[in-house]
Amino acid sequence: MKRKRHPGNRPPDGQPSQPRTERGSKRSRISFIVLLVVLALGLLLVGRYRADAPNAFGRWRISQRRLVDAQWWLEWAQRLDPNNAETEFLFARVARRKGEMAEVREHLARAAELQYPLARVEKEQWLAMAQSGQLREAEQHLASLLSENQGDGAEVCEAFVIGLLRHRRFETARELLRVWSADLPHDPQPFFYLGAIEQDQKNWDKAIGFYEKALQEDSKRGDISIAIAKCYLEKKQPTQALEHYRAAAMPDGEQRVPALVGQAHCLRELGKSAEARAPLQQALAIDADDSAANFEIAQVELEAAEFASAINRLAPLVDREPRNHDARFAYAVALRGTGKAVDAAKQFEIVSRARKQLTKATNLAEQMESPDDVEARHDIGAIFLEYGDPEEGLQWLTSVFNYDPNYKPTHRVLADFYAAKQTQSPQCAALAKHHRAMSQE
Amino acid sequence: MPLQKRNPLHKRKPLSRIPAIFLLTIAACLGCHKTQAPAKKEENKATAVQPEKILFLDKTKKSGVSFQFTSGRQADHNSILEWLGGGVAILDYDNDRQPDLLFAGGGDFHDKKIVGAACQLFRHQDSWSYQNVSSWALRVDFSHYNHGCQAADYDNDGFTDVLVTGYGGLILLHNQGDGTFVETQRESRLDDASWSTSAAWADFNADGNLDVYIAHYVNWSFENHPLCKGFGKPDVCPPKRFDPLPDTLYFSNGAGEFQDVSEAVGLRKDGKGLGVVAADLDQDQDIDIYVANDTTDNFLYLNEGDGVFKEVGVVAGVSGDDVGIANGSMGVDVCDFNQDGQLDLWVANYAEEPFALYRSFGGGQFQHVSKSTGINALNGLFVGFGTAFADFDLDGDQDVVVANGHVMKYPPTTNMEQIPLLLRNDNGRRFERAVFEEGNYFARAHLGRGLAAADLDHDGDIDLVVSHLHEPAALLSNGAPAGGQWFRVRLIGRSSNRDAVGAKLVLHTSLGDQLRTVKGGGSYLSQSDLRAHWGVAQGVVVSGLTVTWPSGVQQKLDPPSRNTTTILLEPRRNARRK
Repeated sequence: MKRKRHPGNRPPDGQPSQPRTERGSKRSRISFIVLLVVLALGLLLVGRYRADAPNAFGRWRISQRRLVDAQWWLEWAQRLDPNNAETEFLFARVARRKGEMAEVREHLARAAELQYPLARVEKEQWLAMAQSGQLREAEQHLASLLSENQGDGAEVCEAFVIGLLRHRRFETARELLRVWSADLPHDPQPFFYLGAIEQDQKNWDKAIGFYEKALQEDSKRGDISIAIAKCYLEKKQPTQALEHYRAAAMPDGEQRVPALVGQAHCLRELGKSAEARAPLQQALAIDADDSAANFEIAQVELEAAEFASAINRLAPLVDREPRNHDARFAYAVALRGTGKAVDAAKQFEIVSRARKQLTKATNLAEQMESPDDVEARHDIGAIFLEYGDPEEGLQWLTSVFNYDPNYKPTHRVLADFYAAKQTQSPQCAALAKHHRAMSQE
Repeated sequence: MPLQKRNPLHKRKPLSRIPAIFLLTIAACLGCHKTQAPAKKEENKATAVQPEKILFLDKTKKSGVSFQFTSGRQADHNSILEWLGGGVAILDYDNDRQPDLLFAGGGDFHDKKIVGAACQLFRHQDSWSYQNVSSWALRVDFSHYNHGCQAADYDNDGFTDVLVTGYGGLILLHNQGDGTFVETQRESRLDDASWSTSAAWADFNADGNLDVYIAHYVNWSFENHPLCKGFGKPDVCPPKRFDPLPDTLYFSNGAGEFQDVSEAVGLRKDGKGLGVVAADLDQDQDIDIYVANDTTDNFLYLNEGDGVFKEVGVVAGVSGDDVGIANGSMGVDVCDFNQDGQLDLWVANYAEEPFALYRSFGGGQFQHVSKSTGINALNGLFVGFGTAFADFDLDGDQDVVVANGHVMKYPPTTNMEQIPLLLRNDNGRRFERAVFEEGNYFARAHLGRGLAAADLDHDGDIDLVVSHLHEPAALLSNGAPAGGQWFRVRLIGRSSNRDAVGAKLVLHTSLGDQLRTVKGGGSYLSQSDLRAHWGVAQGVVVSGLTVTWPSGVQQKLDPPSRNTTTILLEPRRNARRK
């Protein structure tokens, strides 16, 4: 009868622990397993499936909306296999989620080159079109996208919802969100978008209700906590907002920096500027160039009359983001504080002019009585292009061509815009040439 | 009074219509969606739990003051005109040293004809007892829809006159000294027919006579009356649907006539003015002007001497919020909230915009300090109108009250009727929102508009009169905690204008100096008491008073008598000319 070995107990000295034959058998088994692992790793690292594991992780992180993590896994997949079609496809999806449509086109083209199924590439293109607001082109594919979604039903719904929200078609978006929510009742995202719609309509309490439902489904979503915090800030309830920013500032969360900046903002709203420095310093330790963190800490410095320090933060920020009017205004205040009245006046003037123009654009948009008022669309787009968000300006300007493809003033503005960027990419050069030609026809 | 916050990212119109196929695809899956009616919004409740010691007891019923502003809303035009409301002036029109009350009457619509409602004058009889003397004291045809009333002795004859602003023209009520007023705007050449709101009397060109700045609003008329909606229902149009009307400045010649000098002195033409206050904001011995504009930049006109102005609102940091965005500004006041000897500015703004407290650094430079002083943490959204700084609790620093009420029938973010606010000053560092017991005027929601402050019952603390929309005006008796001492000084100018508008008074105490100014205008469409008032905490020693008259004459005086009113006559000297 073999003596049963008690795990963890060494045998008494002088006695063999186990019979030799049994020991050798175990070694063989371990060696075999090690060999198998090495072979598997070898296959993973050098074989055709070597990118599959990081791709799978990437896909999983995309589904969780952890885009930074997803990007990391995909970059690893790309290092293992630089010509992997699936990786390119997933890169395109990440880019779409971020709203970087030029990147989407680039990665999808590459995926197609690498023999990724064309049907899937095409569907992703439709989703990109829907998401960027080109609903006329995308909508005819909605039924097929939903019926043959291959597990991507949520992707389809989300892309169309974003597109609808761009067009402020809230009722239609709500209908689609209900379909989505009915199919995937534990997906937080439909509630998140329902909250966003209510937030846009300034129904803060309803928005908070939807966001809280979303948070019930995924309590780790920092972006949802931040959305709730923003609603409380709109309600002038910074104490409640602060709680939600704190919840969003998880140590490894992707929203840590904005959550820390949000905390600081709330503390300032509560008149506790001195306490706001700590979270801002944490945020800047993670990302020293974060615009919002630099802006907030500069505001703290302005309140403390530390004008020189504020100038050091704001001058590079204004250089980097010339359309950041809030930062420029703070910069002007800081300059004024150091006695540079003339320089300050110049900066104040730039902000004042931009604010007036943006107000004009907003008023034009609100008072536009007919969707085919191309002159108003052009004026709004041109203002946003020069003073506001260029992406928004481009959307307004390109929308002109839905009603008048030959509207020369818009072609002229776009020609100038792309000509200024033509050294950056051949696409810009081509667009500049196209719009110049159209403006002269 | 903006009706919607401006955010370019949130206001885009649909770029294209979604074709029916899209809707059909979704409709195939679902039934029709029903739109829900807007729910009643959460009240703007304060978070503190300790009820306020100051009570502000409602004395309206007892007082015999029965007045309600006529807005004309029954005509259901949803005109922006009917939502501005009216103001109130606290004045001593019969020189009996008792504060009387004059309310702007408003107006009505006969179809689309706009008619005025008479202003009402209430004469003080006894403590919290007033008599309506309008029928014989106001021999005036109030043909215009009227909003504002600014009291001042413009002709230096010893009797307080009143300027009534409104839609269609001004009415200058000249006090005849016999207890009656007659209208003299034609003789006085105050021929401004544009839609006027608030006004400020002050001696801008330092000639010893009161001039007047008149704020104007927008170019609404029934010929320019677009259909606007809120929650799908007809609602009042926001001011951005209309063009601004330029303000006017009239200089007095001292003989009862005025001259429009708006062009000559360099007034801007792009403001939508609702509030105005006049004081020496850069401490250079002349009177400057601050104008609260609705959705456009606020103006700061610094007087360069002899009444020539330079508008510096943006550069001075007082044109908008802390990042330079124009607010919907209504009520306005000046104060020295932190007792640093500089006059700071206060503006009551629209719902999503915090009220603005601008701290003066001197030399006409200001910083928006609403965040650091706790103003941004009011725990609610308020549309602020009438407002006044005063030491309501007699503790030695100036607190502030604001009358609130929305301008939309269906406001998206808060209720139409709103509770008023008392923000208590904590030693010039922070303001705390006071909490009132249920049933108190300050715990109930109103559609507040004009507000004026004065010690109506001579008990040493500052009481309030508030004019509302759709609700009778209220007289509120301050029950400040006993124990504090108070000082009150009335100035009578001789070389300066008789009301001494523009004078600065510094009470020297063992806890530091307390600055007051006799300001022109302030609040919203209303006129508060021109007498300077101080609360001083128990145990604090007052060592003297320094008065700087508008003429430039400076007097250093022994401490005034406490708990009574001191009357000071300006020492004789020729009017200062710069």
